[in-house]
Amino acid sequence: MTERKIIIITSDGDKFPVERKVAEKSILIKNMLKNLLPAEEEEEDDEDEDEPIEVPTQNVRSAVMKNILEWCDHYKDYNFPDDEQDDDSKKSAPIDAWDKNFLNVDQEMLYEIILAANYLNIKPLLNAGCKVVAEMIRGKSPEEIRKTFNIVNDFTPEEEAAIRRENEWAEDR
Amino acid sequence: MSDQPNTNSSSLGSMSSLGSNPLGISVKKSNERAPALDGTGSDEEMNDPDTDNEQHARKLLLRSRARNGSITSESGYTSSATRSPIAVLPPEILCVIFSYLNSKSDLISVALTCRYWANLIIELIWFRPGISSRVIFERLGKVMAIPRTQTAWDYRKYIKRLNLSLVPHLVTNEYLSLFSGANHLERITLVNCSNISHEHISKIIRGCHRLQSIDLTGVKGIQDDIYYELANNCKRLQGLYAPGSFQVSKAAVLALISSCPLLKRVKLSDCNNVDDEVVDQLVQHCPNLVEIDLHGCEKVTNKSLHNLFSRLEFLKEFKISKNANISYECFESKTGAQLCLDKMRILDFTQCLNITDRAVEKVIKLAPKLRNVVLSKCTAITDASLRAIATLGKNLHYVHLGHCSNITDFGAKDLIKSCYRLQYIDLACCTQLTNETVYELSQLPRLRRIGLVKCAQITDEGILALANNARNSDDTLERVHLSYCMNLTIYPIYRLLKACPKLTHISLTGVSQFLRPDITQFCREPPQEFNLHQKSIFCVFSGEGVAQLRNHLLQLFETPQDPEREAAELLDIIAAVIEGVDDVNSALFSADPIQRERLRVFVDTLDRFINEFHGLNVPRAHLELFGRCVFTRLPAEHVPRIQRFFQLLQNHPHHPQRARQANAGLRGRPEPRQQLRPPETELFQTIDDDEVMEDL
Repeated sequence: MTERKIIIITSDGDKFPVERKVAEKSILIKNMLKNLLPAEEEEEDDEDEDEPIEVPTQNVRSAVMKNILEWCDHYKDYNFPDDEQDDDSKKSAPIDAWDKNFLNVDQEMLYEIILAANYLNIKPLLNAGCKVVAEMIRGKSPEEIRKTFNIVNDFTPEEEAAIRRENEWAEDR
Repeated sequence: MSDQPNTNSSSLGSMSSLGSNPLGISVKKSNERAPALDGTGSDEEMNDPDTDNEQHARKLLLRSRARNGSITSESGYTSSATRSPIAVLPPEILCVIFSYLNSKSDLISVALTCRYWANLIIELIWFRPGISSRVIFERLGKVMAIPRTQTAWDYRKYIKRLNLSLVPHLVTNEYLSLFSGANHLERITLVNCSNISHEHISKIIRGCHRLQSIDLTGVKGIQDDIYYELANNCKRLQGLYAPGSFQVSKAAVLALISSCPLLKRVKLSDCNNVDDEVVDQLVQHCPNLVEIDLHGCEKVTNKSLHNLFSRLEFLKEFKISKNANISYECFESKTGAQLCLDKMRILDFTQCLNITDRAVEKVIKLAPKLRNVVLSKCTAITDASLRAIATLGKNLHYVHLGHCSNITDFGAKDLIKSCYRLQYIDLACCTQLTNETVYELSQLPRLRRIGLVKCAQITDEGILALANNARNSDDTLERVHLSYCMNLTIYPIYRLLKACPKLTHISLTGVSQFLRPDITQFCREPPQEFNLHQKSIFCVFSGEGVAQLRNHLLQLFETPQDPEREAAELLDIIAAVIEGVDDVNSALFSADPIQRERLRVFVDTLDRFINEFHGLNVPRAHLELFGRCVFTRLPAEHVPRIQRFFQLLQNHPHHPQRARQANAGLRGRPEPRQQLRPPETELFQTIDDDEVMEDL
């Protein structure tokens, strides 16, 4: 029995045919397919067999989906541990080198990938993306952070001083 | 086929379903109040002390914030950040990003970036203020002292965990009062804060409807008012650690019990008013109990304990002590229904004199997965109990049998052999135990702590076995208590220290061999309350002291010495000992030919060592006089000198002595020269008898 084809349709109408195990890196799609394709595939609907399954993803545009699928393809044979227990070690673990390189894109694309990973429920990618952004914050002064992210300082100098005064107790030393 | 699958559309939960932003999280004037987190976002897990770590807590915090709707998807960059690409990220994702920032200074930098980010991150800074030093304690106090209308946020609302137990001696009533009104507190930890009063603790508790646990260990003067405040405010209380509730009335305890049905962990040690009725109420109202500590509750009897053991199905940990009522009967099934203590992991019956072999056999059968068993001062138990405990096998990690003086090597060996995963064993004052037990202990692969205080039959051979079976860098041994094991000498301890690099605590109080200045200089200060005698024999090394002792012994036993310095030292010692001595009463030698012969051999040895090896030129007459001094009773002041003398003699690599020492090590035999006893004892016998043969 051949596997049914899966076609992911992006918000701008592009179609991406993918292997099932690639698509299933997205828990959203995986659950969807689970509903459509019961584990014990019945042979009855023979006429359906060759019909590809179309999966629309309204929130993800083509350019982003291309990246997402590249990531999914890279990890298609890797099983991420889905237990929450060693969350700590996952948190403190450095970003995987391949992921880091993969996420070395401009900020717009990075955030779109993060949003898509969130929407499609691809936790390891979401976490890697968030870690990359955290990396961009780490060790920087407030002014450097604003510059990095193009954020306008909307504090008055008095407010800034107050926040500093009231929170500096927490600083590591 | 539907476009929308019936699953969560977002890996962070269904954020999209959250309503509009009623909380005005976006922009606030700095003198406006922060939004109240009016949701009920406490996680069950959050209160479990086992999960008390920063990262995990943060994750839960974020999750609960998301659930509460304190963060919404509505963008907050209304005024300032619209052109910033990162503005596309919803707040829950920003919070995940922020959760990867581990240093507080990064969090503060984020708070200073813009209002929107500040509002998102402020709770992460405050939900658990890490009050780990005086500096932080004082700075935080200053901020808390500012009237809340004058701060950028009302920080009290963000504090969920207040832990003052890292700086307990600094905490005053005034300081504690600064946190009144922190009504979102979920955990209060005041361990060892002995300067605070019950009134002030009550004041903090008032209004904390979400309080899940409070730890008052070491707090003095706990009174009824604390119990009533907890009963009236904290219906969700799960953990109450209040040992030392001496003055608390039964009515107050009962009020708390009937108001807090979620209680999981209670510590009511030494609360004199806890009796069968209290225990029965506890069982009736709080079915989730997993941990109960009734140390020193003398009134409790088998009746309520039987009820407790038969009804609390989640019970993992039970402790009681100094209770003479409790016996095997609390485990007897009277109704025919079998008790099941399958979940039980920790059992402590310290000093319950009616706990007998029959009780132990019974409870071990009912609770086959026990991990910790504490029966210290259960003086009635014998080897039969140990055989019962042995059936716990690999489950047992911790056993305390101190003062169970009926037990013998037979029982101890059975237990140790079966429970090969033991990490902690205390056999203090089990005076019948000998090296046989220690040999068995030396086989345990995971042992971290050994207590053998006052097991005076243990000798060097036992300790050498521990050292010989140690697995060097993999060895797990951390703490060894050998005080009052009078027969121990230095060499095996040196071997043990060398073989167990993780060893960071060793106690040798009262072991005479170690009571000499070059060794005791590394020992800890004796406790203030000790009397002069106790102080004089105190000999405990820990941390850095162990490292120093290890180095010192290593030097004594291994470093090839500087011959010149050594020679000078030898001359000094000889000169000091014979100084002012014209002759030694030679009656001893003329009357005893064996003794005379020994002296001759000894002087020969000295002659070779001092004059030939070291190339000194000490007249034979001086050596003879020195030998005579050593062979007869010396003034006490010379004892350390003589010990040092023998060390030099013994350590010398070229001396035949060395070969003997190595052999002794291999054979697991202590080095006899180490046993510096008064000179006319067998010390020199040993030297002479085999030494002469080897030397000649």
